[in-house]
Amino acid sequence: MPNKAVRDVVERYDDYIEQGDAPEGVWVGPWNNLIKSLDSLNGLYNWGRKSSIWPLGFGLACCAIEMICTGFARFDIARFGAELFRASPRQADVMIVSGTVTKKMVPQIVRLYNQMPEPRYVIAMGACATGGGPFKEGYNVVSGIDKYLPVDVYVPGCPPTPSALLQGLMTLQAKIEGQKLSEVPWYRAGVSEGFPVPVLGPDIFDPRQIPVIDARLSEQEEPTTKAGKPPKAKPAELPAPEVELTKLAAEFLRGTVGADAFRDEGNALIVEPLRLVDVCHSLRNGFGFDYLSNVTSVDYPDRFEVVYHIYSIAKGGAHIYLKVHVDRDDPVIPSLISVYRSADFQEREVYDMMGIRFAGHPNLKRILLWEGFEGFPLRKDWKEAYYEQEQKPFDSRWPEGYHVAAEDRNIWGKNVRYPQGWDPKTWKAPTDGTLVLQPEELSALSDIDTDKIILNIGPQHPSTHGVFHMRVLLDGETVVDLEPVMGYLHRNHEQIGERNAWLMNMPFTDRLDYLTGMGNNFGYAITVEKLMGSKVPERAEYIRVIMAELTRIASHLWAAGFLISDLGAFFTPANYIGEEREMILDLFEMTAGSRMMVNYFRFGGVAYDISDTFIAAATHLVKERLPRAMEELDRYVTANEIVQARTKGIGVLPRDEAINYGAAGPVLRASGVQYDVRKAEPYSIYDRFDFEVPVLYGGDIFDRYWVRMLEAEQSRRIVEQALRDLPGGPILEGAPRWSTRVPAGEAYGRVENPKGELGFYVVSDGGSNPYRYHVRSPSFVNLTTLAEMSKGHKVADVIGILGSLDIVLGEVDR
Amino acid sequence: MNPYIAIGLLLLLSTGLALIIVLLGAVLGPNNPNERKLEPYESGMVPVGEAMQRLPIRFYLIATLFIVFDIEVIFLFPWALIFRKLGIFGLVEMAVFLLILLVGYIYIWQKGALEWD
Amino acid sequence: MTTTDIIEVLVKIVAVFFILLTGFAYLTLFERRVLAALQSRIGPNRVGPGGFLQPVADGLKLLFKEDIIPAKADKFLYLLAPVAVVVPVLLSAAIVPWGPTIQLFGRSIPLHLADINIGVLFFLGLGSLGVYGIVLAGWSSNNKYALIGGLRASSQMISYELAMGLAALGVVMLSGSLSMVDIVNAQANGRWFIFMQPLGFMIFAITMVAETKRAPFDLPEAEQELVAGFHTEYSGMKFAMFYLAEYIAMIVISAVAATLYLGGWRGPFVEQLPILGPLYLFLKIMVFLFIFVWLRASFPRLRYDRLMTVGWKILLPLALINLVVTAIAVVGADTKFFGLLGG
Repeated sequence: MPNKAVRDVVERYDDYIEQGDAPEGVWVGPWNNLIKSLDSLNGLYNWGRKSSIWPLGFGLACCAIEMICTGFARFDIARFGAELFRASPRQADVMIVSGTVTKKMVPQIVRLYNQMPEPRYVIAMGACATGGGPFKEGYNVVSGIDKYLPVDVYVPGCPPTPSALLQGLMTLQAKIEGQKLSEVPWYRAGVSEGFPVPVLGPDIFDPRQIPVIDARLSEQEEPTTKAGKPPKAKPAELPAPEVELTKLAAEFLRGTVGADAFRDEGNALIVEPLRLVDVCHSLRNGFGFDYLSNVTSVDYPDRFEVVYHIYSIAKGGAHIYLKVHVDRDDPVIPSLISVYRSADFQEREVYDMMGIRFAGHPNLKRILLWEGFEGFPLRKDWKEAYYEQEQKPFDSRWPEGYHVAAEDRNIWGKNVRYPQGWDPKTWKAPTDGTLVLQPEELSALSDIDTDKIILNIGPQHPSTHGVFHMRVLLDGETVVDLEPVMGYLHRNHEQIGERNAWLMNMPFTDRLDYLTGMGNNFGYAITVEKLMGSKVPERAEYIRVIMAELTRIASHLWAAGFLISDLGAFFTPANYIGEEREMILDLFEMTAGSRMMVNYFRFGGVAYDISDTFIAAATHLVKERLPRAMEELDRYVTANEIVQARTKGIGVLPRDEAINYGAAGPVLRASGVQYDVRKAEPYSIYDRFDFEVPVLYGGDIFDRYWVRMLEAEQSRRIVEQALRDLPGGPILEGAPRWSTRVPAGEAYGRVENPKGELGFYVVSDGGSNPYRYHVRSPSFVNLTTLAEMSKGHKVADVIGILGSLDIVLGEVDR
Repeated sequence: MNPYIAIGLLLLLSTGLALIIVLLGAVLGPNNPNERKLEPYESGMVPVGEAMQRLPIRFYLIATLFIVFDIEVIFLFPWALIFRKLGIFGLVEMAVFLLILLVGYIYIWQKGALEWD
Repeated sequence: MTTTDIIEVLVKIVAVFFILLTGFAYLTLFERRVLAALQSRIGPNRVGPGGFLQPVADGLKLLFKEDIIPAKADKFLYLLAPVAVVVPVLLSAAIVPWGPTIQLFGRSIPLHLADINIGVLFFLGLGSLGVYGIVLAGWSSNNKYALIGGLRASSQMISYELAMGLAALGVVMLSGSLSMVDIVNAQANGRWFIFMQPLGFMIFAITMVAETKRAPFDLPEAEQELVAGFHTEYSGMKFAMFYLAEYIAMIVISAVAATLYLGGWRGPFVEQLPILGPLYLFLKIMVFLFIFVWLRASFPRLRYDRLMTVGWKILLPLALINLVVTAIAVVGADTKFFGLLGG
């Protein structure tokens, strides 16, 4: 129930409305509106339509989270009659485009809009849907949905708070109120022929606009590649301090594999490409380093370098760095998939972004972009459209004396480029993925077997996980094979990272795993601080831990609520924990100014100090509200027979496979692996707190859910201790700086985020921008386990398994 | 009065009501079909192949089993009405009937016809 | 069969339609408000005082939505399916006894549309007929999801109909008649059948939820898995008909359950004040409807194979056991003069 303060405000607002001082358009009294609308047929027609607006149930990115929160107890969109989110576009009235629209996703969005019956509306929610947002004009981003669909209401914000979305809904209602039966387009004959669905070729194009494309191709003079941008300092001469662990590993390897397979370079081992698999075999089997955490690549002027970070589960502690140098002209190296399965998706990503091929990989296709995309974006000689055009900085600014708006209504933005000599008329789409059976193949299957069908689950599906697509091969009801397709939210985060200055990247890390902004900031901050050698003041350390653990509680509560909702409990548990999560978000808003995209950490501390109200509210939260909420959720959910029947024994991930697949976080700990970065390689001041790391041994959906609940309880303890021991003092080392120059070097820093181990790999050449910036995302690597866990289960279980993995698409696709 | 007349009238009126509602919706709503709007819906993707030329056989199996057991239930109805007059004799007779059907039920259970996959 | 008779029937039909359609409209609002309350939210409260006009707005909106007939859909069946779903549901309201006989305009008017002597069988038969519309909807939409959803829904319904029929048989055995009016009369003086058929009541209650495809048995409509099930391709008023059929089925089946097990319109002082009859029935129906909504808010849904297992392997044997035990108890009481059901 709302507390007294809230009730006071509501009473005062009610009085204010009754006095008649409220402005036009606001709902004034329960009957006035209806009576006003009955005076004409238009009025009645519009009243019915505006009072019952059913949104289409799909969300793209971070804004979708706020959209979901609008449906929960604190904001309650149901009061407007709009809580019936329909999954099928045939039954929906408004499409709320909530999140960044990427080129890979936009054909689906346009198709969905086309399939909605009229009258239909579009609300562009958030800065990304309005005009591209912070990711504007990236190589996979469409700068605003209005390039393809007609938008009725724009709701600004990044993300807009739920109150802003409600305001957007009320604006739409006002718009509907103003429409006249005699003028609405859908009653006029021969009006719409459906909006053209773009095609994903070498870049996005619309087949009906071929003459325009031809004209553009002929006037396009700039080459698609450029001479490599020379770095400021020669990265080949990056400092390489001696590391004890590397020496030990080198000694061990000299004994087993031979000294000719590698070279000791201080902090890393440079391995000969052809001996890579042998080296990793002996490291895994003999030296106990069985967990491949990160695979990434860097583009140096004279070579490509593929970097591997390997950890030991049993020993904990720091990593072994392996590097492989590859020739730029024909980059091929052996795949590590036979040794570590976690290399599966990460190698595909390296191929996608950098063009390095991995011999022996069973399915080396693009993973984030689409098959047929031209070019490898993270190479230094790939010229980014729009941002690196000849006329700098932005050629849309008043060329030839007149203003041309950046949002011209052409069907593509300025960030589209076609290869020279490409002919759209004769282009054919290459096969995308392994699980696409053409109709001819379908009918060729044996007559005796039951048909195997391919089901597309997603990318629009109401399981609220975002734009994730699975192709499932079904035999009856059992899953035979599953292929995850991602990249629908690929917002070229890593390329933006190279374009930005160091501190400018901080708000972009918020948008990785948008449910845990504080945690992402933490990871980035400690990685760069490794290079800068900053010392963070005590108070700031405690504040950082409090924020990170509160984020963990919020994220786990959300994961638990939505797992049960995926199993069908109609959002009741999600609503119950929603209030506690809102209280945590209130704390964030109080301190950092925003509920989700906090941008709070700085190199050397945090941005703002916490107030006494914060401390009082946080203490109340952890001491009274959270124990009650978690106990209530526990009582409601855990012993429920149906939940047990649907989660116990389903989606089992055995211990060895969990390690080999590189699973992290609760997924790993629910499979019996005692590994938590906060204990294995403590960062910040985690070694001062008294907390346990819960481990369960079943590895099924239930254990993953239960481990999250136990972890949330431990986080609560940490926050209690931190609040108790919070010292005074400054919160930032030195004076706040805008532009930092980070000393040359490379660093890999990782934090234990609620989803798993979030790692940042940065290479600095001493300048004010990163030379290479890579995010090791836990959800991305955890997804490697999905196919294995789902085989043999039913379709209904796949959704539960996906829910128990708890992925966030912002992180998967970056 | 024959109660079936009331039911007949109700049938006519409810069919009429249903048809009126459908017609009303068709007349009053806009009507702008175009090729893209009428495409089958599959999460925004282009569906592959026709929608199921052949159906999984277990649905047919369930329907057949339903018919068998429904006939059994139908035979039980008249017995349920007059079984008190038949006394113990009727009880034993019906028990034999049910026993025979129970054998059949156990058979299909063991054979796995009731397993859904 | 005079004209006044026909007029009486027509008035009753109109009254039943009115009750069912208004009931459906306000049941949707009731459900949304109760679900919201169970989730500590508010629910629709802006459209008219307390959200009172929300169903009207929903209806208006659906009325003016575009009528889509998907490409390559079987047009005739596609249009027939909603009608085929609604008509059996409306018809099954014919046999429900809404109250005792009342005196009005010098005539004694029984408050039921038709007292046929095979009432229970009629109701069960119409339940089976309702399956056709679902399958037609799934098949004619030319959509993979809709077809799977339709077939699953129909399999679920027919599986649970067996147990429902057997449970209802228990009541028939106790009352000795298939006519609903006779069943209500047999429960006079507070001797409701729920006390004598507790197992039968449990089975009937569970199958009731499965028949109407409500949570936790709502996998055929499951959004999370099948993206809306058999009515995926329906829009506007035809979709409203499926919605209508589902909620009216809930109301009618609650009324039948109340009649079979809770004494229908019987209650204290109903002989003196016959108008109390419909009121008591209304209260009993509300209890069932609240339980429907409560179940939806509380439970995740059963996976499909478990749903079928419950229907075939648990409820069916239990219903048969119930039947046998009832038979033995009744005959035993008769022949051994235990006087359990004497008189």
